[in-house]
Amino acid sequence: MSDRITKLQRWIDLIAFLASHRYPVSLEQISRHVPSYRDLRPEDGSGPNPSAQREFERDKAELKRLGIHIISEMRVGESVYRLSTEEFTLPIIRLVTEAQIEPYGEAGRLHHGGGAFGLEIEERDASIVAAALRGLASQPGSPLRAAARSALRKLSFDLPDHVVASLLHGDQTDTVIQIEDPELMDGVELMSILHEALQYRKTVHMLYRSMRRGEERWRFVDPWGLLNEGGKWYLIGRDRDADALRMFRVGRILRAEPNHLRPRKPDFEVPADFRISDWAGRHPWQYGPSEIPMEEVRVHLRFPRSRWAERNRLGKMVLEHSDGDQERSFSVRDADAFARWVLGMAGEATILSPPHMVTRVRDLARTVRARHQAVSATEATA
Amino acid sequence: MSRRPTADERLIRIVQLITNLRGRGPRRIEDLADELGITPDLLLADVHELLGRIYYRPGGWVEDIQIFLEGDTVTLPRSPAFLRPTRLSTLETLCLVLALGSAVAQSFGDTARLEKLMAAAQQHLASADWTEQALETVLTADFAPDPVGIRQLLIRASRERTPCTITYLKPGQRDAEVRTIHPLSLVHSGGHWYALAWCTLRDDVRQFRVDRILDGVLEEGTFEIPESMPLHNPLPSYQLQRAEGATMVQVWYDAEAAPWVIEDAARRGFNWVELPDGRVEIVHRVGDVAWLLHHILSLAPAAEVIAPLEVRALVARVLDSFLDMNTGA
Repeated sequence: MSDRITKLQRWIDLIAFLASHRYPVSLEQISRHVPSYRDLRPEDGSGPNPSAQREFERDKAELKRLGIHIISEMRVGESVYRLSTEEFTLPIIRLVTEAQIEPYGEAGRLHHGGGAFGLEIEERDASIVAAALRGLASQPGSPLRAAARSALRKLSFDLPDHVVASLLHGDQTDTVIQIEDPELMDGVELMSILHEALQYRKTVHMLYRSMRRGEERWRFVDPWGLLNEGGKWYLIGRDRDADALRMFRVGRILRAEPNHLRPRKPDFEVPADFRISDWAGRHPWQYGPSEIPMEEVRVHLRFPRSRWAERNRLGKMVLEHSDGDQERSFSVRDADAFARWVLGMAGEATILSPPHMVTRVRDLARTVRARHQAVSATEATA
Repeated sequence: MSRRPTADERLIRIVQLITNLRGRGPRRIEDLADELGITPDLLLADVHELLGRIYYRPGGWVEDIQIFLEGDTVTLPRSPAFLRPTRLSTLETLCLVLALGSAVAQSFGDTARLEKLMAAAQQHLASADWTEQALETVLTADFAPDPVGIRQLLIRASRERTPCTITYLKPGQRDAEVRTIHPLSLVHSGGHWYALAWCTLRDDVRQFRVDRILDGVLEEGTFEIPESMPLHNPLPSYQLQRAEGATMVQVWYDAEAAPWVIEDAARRGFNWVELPDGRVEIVHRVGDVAWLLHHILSLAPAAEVIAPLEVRALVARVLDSFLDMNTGA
């Protein structure tokens, strides 16, 4: 067994030392009892060691990010440190029935029993939360799987064993099921790398297969966000070579390496107005370079296809006819993708305007019709 | 691209290990690993990390974490830290907020109450470091619209075993069908929700894509689930995404579309043949010609039915009809 003290052991030593003291401790005390911090206040009286001090501050910051909050205070002109119990430990969670709880107030229903600070959650809400967390924890390839599992375990700490079993594993009669996607199964490691780069704002050097260009090329990308859409993961990031924001399908990233230089310093900043949710829920006809403006296309949808469009919030209704048909307006950037979508409805949708879109769909239909003109494919190619 | 667990991940695991082990007597490594959702090897590595501290810690320091490994059991008689779980880390809070957001979006509960619970969770369960900005980096929820609450209706029907009558509109079909079904489960796969149900019309199990159900209503009475039903062992995702049948349809895809077609086929487990000129051939087992028609037209002009001839003729007829209706100026 190595006698070198690992970073993990250093953290555990620090937490164990602080947790065993109800009162704040000085740097000198930490230096005496936590071996890795011996240099914080050397016994030879050479004074504080700036490098050890920096390491201590970095550890504090990293532990804070993990939910372990070390508070520093000034006492008699000296910095002292303590673990914040209130901000460090989870409040006691108690499940209550609907009859026992008033609707949640502005900040939830809190209780104070036996001096312990706690939170009351209604049983049916707890099972909804647990089911949703289980869903996240079971998503193959998700960078949040471990964290979702861990959150679920923490939140069920105070609950009776039979409730915990049901929350952690789901009821045997649970009828909502998540199915694994092979593309995500293959990308678990890759997702961890991308998510870590995202967290620490590190540029990623990645080999990406572009379907449109039919090429595999290395790119430098600043990851801004990860999005799960239609069962697939996408990386939203700034392509440094193109100097533009791009959406990359994670399943097409063949290799990825984060920038290992200056590991504690971010390589870039994400603009404050970036919202990953702005990228969600897009349809194929809404993709494309931002230089191409969106165009409003008006479509006549026959009943009951009109109800289907309305039910799935596809386009905006402009006019409803007495027979249930609707005219709906769509914002379109990729005209070809939209024309294919309309044609796919096999006559249940007709483009009304603009004229060039009417022509485009008709031409597309004529081309496919011509390919299926001959009785057999042999005749068609003869 | 194998990657070693970071110190962060290991610390979180060790905190959980201590919290779950403390004061509970000897625990079997396998049982504890199972409880923590990790492998016994990972658990042992963490235990050794704690044990390794005896080599450098000053002797007799009574306030330390004590851990013993004997045979296949591990015991933690004392620990000054981690008497309770720590507050949720930034990532754990992100998970909770996303999970609650997803439940709200999918209408799985009382939306207003869940939103208040979300606010309470962020205030009282999250660590001091939690920021809303974390929410702006990862989005992993299915926000498919469900304005009429079909998913909730199906979940209720499957849990209470209540028959349900739905109005279902398939792609490529002109009219909606009304069917009475016995919903067995609601399955999320490939970005879509499906109701796996016994169809009383077909007298067999069928999958219904939820976004194609226009409305639904619960019927009187209850249904029984036959013992042979694959309630918790549903079909693979590719089978969920398309009804298969006896008609074999040979389709050629143009070289320009080939990369997408191959990628999709590989994902769904289909076989394909790359032709010498760059085109790709797939023979589909089709259960519903309307699906095939929709498939060919959605890929226009890159897909062509080669055989059987009657399916080729059907595509031609549908397009004739479309062009008659869209004569243009």
